[in-house]
Amino acid sequence: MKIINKVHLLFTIVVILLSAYLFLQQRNVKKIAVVNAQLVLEKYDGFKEAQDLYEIKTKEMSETFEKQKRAYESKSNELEIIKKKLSKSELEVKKGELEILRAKTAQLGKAIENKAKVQEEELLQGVYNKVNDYVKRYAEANNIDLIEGVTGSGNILYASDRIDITEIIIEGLNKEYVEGIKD
Amino acid sequence: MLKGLRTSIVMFLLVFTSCSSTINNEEELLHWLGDMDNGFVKKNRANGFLLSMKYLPPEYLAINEMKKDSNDNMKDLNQYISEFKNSRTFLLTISNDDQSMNAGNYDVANMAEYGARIRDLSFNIKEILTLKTTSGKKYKPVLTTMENSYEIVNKRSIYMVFSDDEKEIMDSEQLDVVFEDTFLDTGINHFVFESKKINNLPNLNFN
Repeated sequence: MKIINKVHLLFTIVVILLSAYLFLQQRNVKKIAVVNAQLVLEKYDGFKEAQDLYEIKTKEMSETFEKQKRAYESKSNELEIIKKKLSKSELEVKKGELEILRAKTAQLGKAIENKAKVQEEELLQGVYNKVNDYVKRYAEANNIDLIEGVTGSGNILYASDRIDITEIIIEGLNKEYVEGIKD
Repeated sequence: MLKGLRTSIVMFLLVFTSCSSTINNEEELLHWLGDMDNGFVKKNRANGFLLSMKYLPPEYLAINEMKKDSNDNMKDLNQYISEFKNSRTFLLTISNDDQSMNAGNYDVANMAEYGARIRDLSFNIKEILTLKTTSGKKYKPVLTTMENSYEIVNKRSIYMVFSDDEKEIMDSEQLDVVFEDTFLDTGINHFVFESKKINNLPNLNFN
């Protein structure tokens, strides 16, 4: 009877020690997850809206440029038609005017191009900041130590589906985009 | 018999807990408006900034107006409320995790840029604020004002009022206030309010 009790006690101690060891081991295991960054962007409503907004803005700017370009082409064609009727000095004046218009058109095109680039950067920066902020909060809330962003040209060759949280991130981001954050 | 009694108790509690919702003073009102579960506050976060949009009901605005007029006669409350009941007023508060950072000084290199930022926040912000109704109609604010914080806190607050003659704004089931941020790199921010929630302020019983 005493031997049975001793064995029982020993067994209990072993189980407790093993549980404690496994618990500590578990605590030391770092949680890692991967996210397909490209897919997140493609499916994120915030990115889609930013793209739409960029297209609207660039369309407006593009129309302004096209209008100016047509004005230059019209003047240029007009000069082609009337140049034989003009004196040398008159032709020089007209050519000068046309050159100024061409330079202005080119200048406008360049300015529009720069403005469009700045706007694209601004819109994308806002999207990236929103995604990064959400991913950080998600990691903290779920005790994840590292989230790797997978891109087409990245250096992760394989990741198990078990640690792929792309769909969870997309769903959470889109929900938050409409509903906002909870306190 | 017992089942019937239990149902009656549940019904009693349901009816009385929903109907007994009364706000007794200004402090309670502020607390109630700030409780996110009541649907008067919507929040967004990005780039270290917290953007909080609060719907200010006519009752709240009326009480503030009465205080300005030094009028504490609550019998006049309804008269004051009527002045605000045809428009929607919201308060956007922008703060940052970094105590030294605010909407006025973020990405600002010198005093000239700082001045331009304050002008933008005070006067040009209406260009990047839109209210979208359920039917998709868009409205710009008829009024925006930035509250002067005198740099005491790292918060900036902007009041905005939306109004229209067709009552589309007042009748819309949802109100989506969109802040297309061009200053703070927080992107496009939506604050979607349900009218059934924001039209459901408990009775005010200030004495």
